[in-house]
Amino acid sequence: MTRYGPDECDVLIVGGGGAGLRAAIAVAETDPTLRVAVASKVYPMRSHTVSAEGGSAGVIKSNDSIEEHIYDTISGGDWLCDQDAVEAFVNEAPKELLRMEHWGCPWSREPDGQVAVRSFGGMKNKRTWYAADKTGFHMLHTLFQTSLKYEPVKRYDEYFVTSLLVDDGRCQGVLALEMATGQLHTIAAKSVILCTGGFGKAFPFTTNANIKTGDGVALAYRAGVALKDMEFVQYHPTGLPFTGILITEATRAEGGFLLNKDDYRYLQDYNLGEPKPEPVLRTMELGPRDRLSQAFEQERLKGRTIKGPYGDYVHLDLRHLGEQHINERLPMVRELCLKYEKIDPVTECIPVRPVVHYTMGGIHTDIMGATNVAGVYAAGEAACVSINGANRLGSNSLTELLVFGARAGQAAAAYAKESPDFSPRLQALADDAAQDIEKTWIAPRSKRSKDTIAGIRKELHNQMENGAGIYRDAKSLQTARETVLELQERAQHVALQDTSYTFNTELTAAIELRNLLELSSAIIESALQRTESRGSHQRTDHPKRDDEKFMAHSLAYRTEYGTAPRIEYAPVTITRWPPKERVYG
Amino acid sequence: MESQTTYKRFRPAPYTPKMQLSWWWQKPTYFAYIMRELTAVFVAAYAVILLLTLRALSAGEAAWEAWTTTLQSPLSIGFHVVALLFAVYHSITWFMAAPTAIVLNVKGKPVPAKTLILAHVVIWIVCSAAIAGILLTR
Amino acid sequence: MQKTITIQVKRYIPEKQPTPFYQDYEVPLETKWGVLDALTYIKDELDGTLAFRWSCHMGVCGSCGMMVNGQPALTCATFLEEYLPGPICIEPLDHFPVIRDLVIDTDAFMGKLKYVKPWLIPAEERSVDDGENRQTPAELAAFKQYTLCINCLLCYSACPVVGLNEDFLGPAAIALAQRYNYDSRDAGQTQRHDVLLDHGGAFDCTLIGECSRACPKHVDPTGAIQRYKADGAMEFWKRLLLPRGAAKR
Repeated sequence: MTRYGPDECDVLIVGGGGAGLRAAIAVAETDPTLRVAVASKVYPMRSHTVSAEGGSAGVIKSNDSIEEHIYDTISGGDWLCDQDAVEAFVNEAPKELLRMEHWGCPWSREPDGQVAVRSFGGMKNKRTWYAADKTGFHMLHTLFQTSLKYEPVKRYDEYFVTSLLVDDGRCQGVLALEMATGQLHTIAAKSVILCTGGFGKAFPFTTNANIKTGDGVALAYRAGVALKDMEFVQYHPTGLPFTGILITEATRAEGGFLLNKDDYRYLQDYNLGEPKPEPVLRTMELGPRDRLSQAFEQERLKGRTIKGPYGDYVHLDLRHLGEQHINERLPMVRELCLKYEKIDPVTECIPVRPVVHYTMGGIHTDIMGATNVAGVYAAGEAACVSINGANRLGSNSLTELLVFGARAGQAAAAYAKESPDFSPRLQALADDAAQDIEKTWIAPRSKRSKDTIAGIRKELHNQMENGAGIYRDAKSLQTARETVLELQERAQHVALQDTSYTFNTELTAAIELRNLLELSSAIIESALQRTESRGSHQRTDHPKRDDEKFMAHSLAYRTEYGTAPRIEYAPVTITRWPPKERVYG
Repeated sequence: MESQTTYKRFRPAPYTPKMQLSWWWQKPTYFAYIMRELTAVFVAAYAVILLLTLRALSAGEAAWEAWTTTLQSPLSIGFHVVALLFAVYHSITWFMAAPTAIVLNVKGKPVPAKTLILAHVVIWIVCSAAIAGILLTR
Repeated sequence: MQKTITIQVKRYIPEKQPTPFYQDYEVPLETKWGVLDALTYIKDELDGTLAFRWSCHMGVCGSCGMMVNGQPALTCATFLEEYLPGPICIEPLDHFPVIRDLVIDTDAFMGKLKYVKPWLIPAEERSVDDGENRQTPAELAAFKQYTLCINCLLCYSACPVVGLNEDFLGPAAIALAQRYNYDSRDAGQTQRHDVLLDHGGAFDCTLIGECSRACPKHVDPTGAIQRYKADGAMEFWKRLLLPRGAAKR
């Protein structure tokens, strides 16, 4: 076998968060002779998995059942989940969580030493494993620290992947910008797993970290992979105004109330059941996220929310839980409120409003994480398998990145072992991609545009919030569509002030902006063409679910830059759970 | 003071700020630390005085008289006062640091840091009183 | 009423100028704005060339540590109002090579982290079919505090020993070793003794205590290191006095 160069590997993972690290470990365990590498634009422990709070779902207690977890997930997703995928997911979830336990994850415990589980929104039983309210943080650090013991795992920290290199429908590797030096490197890889997370940063008010710009999803999209169910964007009902910091669903699972300006538990008016002093699963505050966020919006239109300098909000009341309980189960919530809102949830209500949290859509993969381009795989929030359908249930995503991270790792390893030598055209492909970066961003330009990255980003944010927010209609989406396409064009002419090669964050921000613009266009087009309401996608001009026409995944295919994508539909896999009305309360 | 290499394209040239000699002067906590380290000098000096005292004792009455006269000089008394202050400072910082190294659980609950410090101080006072008692009551 | 505040940034662009320089920016004084919000404002509205790292904006990813008025701080969790009337001086974290502006080189730290074997080393390998390890809340509490480190490196900036001795493993790395040493599921302490007793290990710490004061997550690395010194001293004498095989046990 001929070696391509120093930067050659069998499996390259793009993104060093939960899914990426789990995939890396899976490759190393599948075959220790394989050369596996993780390239990420940030150090692994900075990845956004770190911010997940509430927990990770998996059936382990004897009073729970696999069947119920499957049903909760499918009904929570408004029947848009692929049921074979959900079944595989729920079956493998406990094993993956146990592996995390064996790797040292500091799960919260029962008095007798068993792993403890808590309630979560949309789940009929207690099945959410947690590590206080820093579950994502502990899972990410456990995975990162564990990954250090696998010698074959090589890391490219702070390498920003700019293009997938694909020759004749087969993946050959990537082109990546080494941020510290500004040098573009070709990393040859037989298979590539994209684990770069979602693209919540297309929206102005989001729990998502600055890095969540959907880079991997855009890479796949440009390489000809379809993006699935892009119109489904989850609003989490409880974020802090201004910062958008997430106040975990666990606050409500532990018994928190949502109150409007009259201190009234308004969810009872929205088909979410009767208010009880104790939390009841699948009712009221423990309803699914889409329904709670929509209830807020309705309440706002009725003028029953509270006005604040950073938008309307309602109150999350934890005061009745008591200081000890809050300190034990929700220490981070208290810490965040004290720090960023200067209020103490032990004695005061927390101001909260819905905030963009998760993108259900993403790279169209099969149940093993494979895409339609040979050698390209995806897992985690970047991928859409789909187990989340039209609305993800809280605590399913942390488990998802374990289950499908591992699956994608195994599949990509098997593929890499079988695949032939690299294409002789590899260097030419890399040179072309490098030239594109040079030409678009680095070369000095005669025509200087007045636009700035921040200016275009702000316009994009406005369009996404107003045009493709919690409620949408044809008119708002049309406007957003035209503007975003125009912004794509303008973004190509933004002049960068920073001409340095050393850690040029303006250059990476420009590439991120282009990625967000392309993905936004896919979100808008998919939303425009789905003329029904389902889960998180609510069309005021088409308020009903339409199973006849839209019991289907939307697939967005990229056309030319600056034009809207082509939308096709693929059937949803239904096995044992025929579509029904979604009932809570 | 900074050290660095010259820049070439794709070869970053990081600079590394070097610590100044006066670093311990820049933060009260650093200063307190250096003072604590300095107590060692006084403790050692006092050990030397103790040795000299023993030598004077073994060298006969004249030597002993001369030595005790020296000890009573204002300079010597001044040194003893300063040495005592440093010794007390050393003891206090030591007791304050004790809880960082000791994790005690009584009936499943961790003993609070304050209790641990207090326990150390009490033992210290008791020991000092005992020694003083032996020396002063003849 | 004060409407703006001056932010003074220590900058370094190797291609442009071989030495660092200071640059002042005037930013709006908004309530709720952290120092990081001021930096993103500068980047977006005033000067696109300013380079710094940030991500989560909620004090958990550990990216945005910098020196703020000479003290190491997470800039997303440090607020403009704490520094009235200004100016606020922002510099890259102390004791690290600086790549560009506020971006430091952390590769050496990443190496040290791996060196202490920060992963669970069980007495015997278990398969998933064996089920979970039991661990009582008290056993969890014995090491929980040391799991909370976000690798923000404020403690390395606060520690003069790190600045004077580049071989020192440093507060976060030793605390992480202790996190596994005190985990009831772990049996790897002997392996970690080899590292922690060695040159650059726990005994290079001179108990200044500044790391614990700088830690935004109350990990208390000072305590972790002091506790190791007690354990490590026992191990040292055991290795010195007992025959090899016995000491290893």
